[in-house]
Formats: sequence, structure tokens, C-alpha cells
Amino acid sequence: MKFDYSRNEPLFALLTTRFRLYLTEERVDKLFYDIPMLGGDTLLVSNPTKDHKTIILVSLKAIYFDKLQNFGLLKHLQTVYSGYVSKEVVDGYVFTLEIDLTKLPKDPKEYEALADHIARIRKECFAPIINHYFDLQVKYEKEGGEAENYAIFDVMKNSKMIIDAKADRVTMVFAMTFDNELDVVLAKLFLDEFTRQTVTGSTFRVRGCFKELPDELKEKKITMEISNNVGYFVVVCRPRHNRESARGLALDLLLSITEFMCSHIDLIKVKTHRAWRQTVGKFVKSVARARPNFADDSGESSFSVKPMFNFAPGVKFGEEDDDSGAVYLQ
Amino acid sequence: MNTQACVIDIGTGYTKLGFSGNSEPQFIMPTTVGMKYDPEQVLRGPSSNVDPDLDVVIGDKCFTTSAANYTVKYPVQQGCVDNWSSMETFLHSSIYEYMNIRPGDHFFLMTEPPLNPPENREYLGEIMFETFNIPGLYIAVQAVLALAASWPYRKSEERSLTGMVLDSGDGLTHAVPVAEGFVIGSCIKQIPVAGRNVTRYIQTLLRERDEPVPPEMSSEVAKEIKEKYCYVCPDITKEFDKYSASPEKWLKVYNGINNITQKPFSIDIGFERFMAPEVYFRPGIENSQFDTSLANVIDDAIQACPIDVKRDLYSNIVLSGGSTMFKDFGRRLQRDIKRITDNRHSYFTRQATEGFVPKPTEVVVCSHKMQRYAVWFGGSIYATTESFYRESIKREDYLERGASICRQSPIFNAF
Repeated sequence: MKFDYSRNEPLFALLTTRFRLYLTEERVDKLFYDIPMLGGDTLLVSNPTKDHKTIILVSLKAIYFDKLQNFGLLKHLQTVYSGYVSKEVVDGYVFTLEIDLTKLPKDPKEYEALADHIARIRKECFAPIINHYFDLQVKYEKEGGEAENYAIFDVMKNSKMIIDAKADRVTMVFAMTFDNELDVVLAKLFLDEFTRQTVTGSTFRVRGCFKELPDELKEKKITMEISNNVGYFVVVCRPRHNRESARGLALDLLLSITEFMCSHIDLIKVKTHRAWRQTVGKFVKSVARARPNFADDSGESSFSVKPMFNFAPGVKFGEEDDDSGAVYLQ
Repeated sequence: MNTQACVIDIGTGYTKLGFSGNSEPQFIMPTTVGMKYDPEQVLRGPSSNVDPDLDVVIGDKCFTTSAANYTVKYPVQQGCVDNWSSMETFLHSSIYEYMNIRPGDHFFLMTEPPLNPPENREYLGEIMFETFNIPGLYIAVQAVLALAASWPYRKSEERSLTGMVLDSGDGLTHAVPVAEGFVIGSCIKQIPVAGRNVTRYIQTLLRERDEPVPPEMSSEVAKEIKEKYCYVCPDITKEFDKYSASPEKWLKVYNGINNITQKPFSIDIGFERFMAPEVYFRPGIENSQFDTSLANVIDDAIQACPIDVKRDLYSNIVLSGGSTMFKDFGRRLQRDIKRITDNRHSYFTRQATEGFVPKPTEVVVCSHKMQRYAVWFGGSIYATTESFYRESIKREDYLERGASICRQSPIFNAF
């Protein structure tokens, strides 16, 4: 069961393999891979030119890049990845990291940690927003003077997020569009369970809201889509429970929660399919055991229904074929 | 749709996952699903925190020590999917955990083996559209993709969708004739020799010589020897002489470490190097029921095809699959098939009436760099073209027409 979707697995696997191959076998290959990320961004892993195969460039193309510049995104990325930022950005992309294979740390744990850090680039893209709103919340708590401050972001193609800060909490409202009505029903059950279990005590309180706007949006008089396929869920973070880790947790949650919901809704469907296949298989097996009674030529119907707990001839109680309680066609 | 399509090639032994436009699959993992299936536990009630149905590992993780409690299932037998519940679980984990995407954003290209029953195509369509809500699906025949994969390595006038595809993977081998992009279904030949048989033969040979291989690691060691040291030789008797004459040049040593005791062991590798791939050309040494050489099987398959495509099939025999990666496999196959056709040609020349001599058949076996993942690579190329998006089955059509839309081939939609 996976809870954390902030790391891009294909990129992580690619970088780890390349680092390992270089350090053990001195193998360099030409790289040119396009990897799509959650949310519609793409990454390009390439080499600068044919001769420089020992340098790997990882370039990011993000649709929300310009919007997030208001929150100081480029500077944040440059600080977090200092030492690996490339001076020239690859054509068509907004940000490029440069990794020199000859300067890699030799310890597997260290280069895996580096690959992990790079693969979480999407997390670093959203970190400035979280920092901004948590800082606002701290400011309001200390000094007061709450003001209207919310922003709408596209976290993924089908989900928007509205985030705002108040004196004692930071609220994130996610608006998710589902692909069919079955998904909406399953999501509603899922969110009801979340509501029940996070009512008291925990840092995050999650509430679901379908077919109408949640209160937080109604207060602000934001008009958003209401239809059969749209669900809203509200995540309220109260940092007073654990200040240090609340920001990191909120960031992970922002990235992972919509994917987590999709993944587990599909998992429930998979489980349901398996259960139906087994149930129907058992039913068909017992119905297929209907045996015609050719020895009896009296012209009566050759099938008769026997009462319960009268086992088929030859099958003793407790054997594998026993379905006691079922009605036998014999 | 600007987003890349996902290309998933599910084989008997290994599944290749990745995104279109790339030259290599992003993930290659065994097609296995490990589930915590313990009947007693289910009766007593789940004692762990996680519902056993949701606690699943797939691929390489099934064989690690931390997954010792999981029962490993193989959903694909003989190329076709056998167990749909396991396959659904496998697809779910591979899409969300490995590829890290939301399936609703991408088109999918899946492959099907030759002689795949149409019901399997329906089941696949149902799973992909109803469980994962994907926008579009294209089910491609593996042989045609393997042909398309050889195009970047040939001159543009030689590229065609007519050829004989020899697809040899881990589980089984197929010889599939394709004419103008259509598979000639009645002439497909299946051969019970594949990667697994070669590995098993190496294990037998090592065991017969009493080499000090720890029994638990016997198949792993055999697989490594197969991939590193084996090659195809033109003539076995000459190879035996070569090995007897100068053993230090040809015999190799394999050094390994026992997984459990961590003690090193070393094995001598000798005749296995060329005898093991010989299983393809002399299956009788491993299999008591089947003894037709691969070259004869391909020749029979082509002779069974309609007469107008026979020459084109001979001149475009394409190899695909991991088990065709042995060194000089293509050359030996080409030589053997040429011998058969030359014999036939000289027989008919002797019988021919005066003045009429049939043209000799040109036999070309095409071997290229992308052979190992040829089917995946072909899929990746095809999924970047515009016709892929036009011809795939869209979700709106699926919801309107039902699952039987998957039985049709997109080429016939024009009617």
C-alpha cells in the first residue's frame, strides 16, 4: 500500500541504474528519455552533446511554473539543488539540473539519496506555497490581523486546490473531478470514513463534500463547479499539535492525496472484481453438478429438488466438495 | 492529446513497462504477483492491519527475502493470461506504484500474443476501461510490433510489414508470418523451446558433471551463465575439437557467492557454452517429444503460407525476444534455412524442363540492436504516430458499444 506519491519512480529507477552502472562497470550510454509526471508536467533526461555522455541533464517542463514564480519558486529550487543546477536551461524546458557522473559519491546509500532527492522535484516545486501559507498562519497567530488570502492552483489535471491561512489553521480544499459515477460513490464512502476517523485529535482533519460546495468556499463566495462528478474534500491542518513536521506532512499530503484516492478507489474495484469472480465461480460449479437421472424411465421429471442438509450421494460432510446449506439439483 | 502514451508489453516471463517515444522500457520485471493468501488466516480473521487482498507485491519484489510470506502466482501461462484477478492486481500496482501516473490522463498500448482468444481481448478492455478509466486503448499484435521495431535499422526501401517474426522469450517461441501487417493465423507455429528450456538444460549439464553449485541457486547461476557465456556455433563437432585442443582459451570460470552461507564457490564452464543454445536447433537433446530444428519449423511455416508472399517472408525473417540474443543466432539460422531452400531449389532444377530454372530464394535473417525488447520498442514507436491516437478504442465508444468493441481490429473500422 503506497501513501507517498511525491517521488517519481521511473526517474528514480533510471538515475539509480545509471549511477550504479557507471560506478561498477564504467558504462555510459546516450540518454534521451521523456518521462511524464503526475499533474501533466514532463521531465526530460538527456546528455548535453554526444561527446559529454558523463553528464546527465534532467529538465523540467511545468505548466504552473510561471504562476508559482510569485512565491519565489526558481530561487527555492536553486537553493535546494545547489551544486546541481545547470547554467543553461535546455530548449523548451523551464529548469535543468546537471549531474556529473565522474563526481558521484561512491557509497550506494549516498547516490541513492541523491537520486531520491532529484526524483522528488515536484515536491520541491510546491514547497514554496506551503511555506508561504504556514508562515502567514504563524504571523496571524502572533500578530493577528487576518486578511483574505487564498489562491487556486491546479494540482493535477482533474483537481484544483484552494489553500488559505487563518490564525489557527491552514485549510486546503481539493476539488476533484471523477471519471464515472461509480468512482464518486466509492469516494464518498472513503471520505465518510476519513471524516469519522479524523474528527478528534489528529493534526489533519479531512471532510468530504459532494453535490454542494463546502462551507469554506461558501464563506469566501467562490463559485466553483457543482455536478454529479465533482467531489470536494477539505483538509484542515492544525499545526499546534506538531509544529516542525506539520509543514513537511502538509506538503506530502498536497501531492499525494488525489493520487492516493484514485489508486485506492481502483484497488477496491479490483478487489470487488476478484470477489465476484470467486463467488460466481462457486455458484456455477454447484449448479453445474445437476445430474440427470437416466435410470428412472417412468416419464417423471428427471430433476428433483432435495431438501437442505441432504448431501449428494458419495460426498461426506467435511470433504472438499461440500457446500452444505446449498440446494442440490439432483 | 499531448501526453505520452503508456506502452505495456506483458510476456510469460517478463513484463516491459514504459512510455512512448523512449528507446528502452522504464521497467522490466517478472510477471509475478505475490499475495498473502493463507486460507487459515482468512477463516480466523485478518490479524495484520492490512486487508490481505490489498497487500500485494509484484515483479522483482516477490523474490526478495522480505516477501517470503507471499504466495507467488504467475498470471500468464503460455503467452495468454490465465488468471484475470492476478492480472488486474498486477496492472494496478504497475500503473500506480511503478509508472506513477494517473491512468485517466494517458492512452495505453497493450500487446497480445499470437492466437489470443478474442475473449481475452474483451477482458483486457473491460479491465482497462472500467477499473482504470483510461481514455483510449490499442491492443496490438506482438508480431507486427516486432516487425516495426526493425525499421530504424533498415534502409527505407526495405521497410515493410511483411515478414516472418521469430519471437522467442522466456516461456515459449512462436514463428508468426505477417503479410502487409496482417498475421496469417493458420500458419503460426509454436515451438516448445524457449529461454526456460535453455536454462534448464544448462542446469542438467552442470549437475551431471557434479559442479559445486549450491542447489538453491542452481537456476540463478544457470541463467547468468546463459546470458554471459553462451553462444551459437556453426558446427558442434568442430567446437568439441576446438575445446579439446586448447581448453585454456575456451573454458571459463564462474565465481559466485552462496546466498546463505556467504562462501564463494567457482564452477568450470565448458561445453555448456555452445551446447545450451543448440537446444533450438536440436530440441531432441532436451525434449524427448519434439525434435524438429528451428530452421525446419520456420521453413514449414513459410511453405504453408500463400504462394505470393513466400519469397517476401524468406527475405525478411525478423528476430525478437530475449532468447534470440545469443551471439551468431541469426547467422546460424540464416545458414540453416538457406541450406533447406537450396536443397529444394537444386531438386527442382534437376526435375525442371529445359530452359526453366526457378530463381534461388534469398534468405535474410534480420538481427538488430533492439531485439531484446523489440515488441516494446515497436509499440513505443507506433504510439508516437498520429494513427495510433486515431485508431485506438476510445472510452466514449467503449461505453456506448460495450466490451465487444475490443474484439475488432481497428483496421476494419473503416467499413
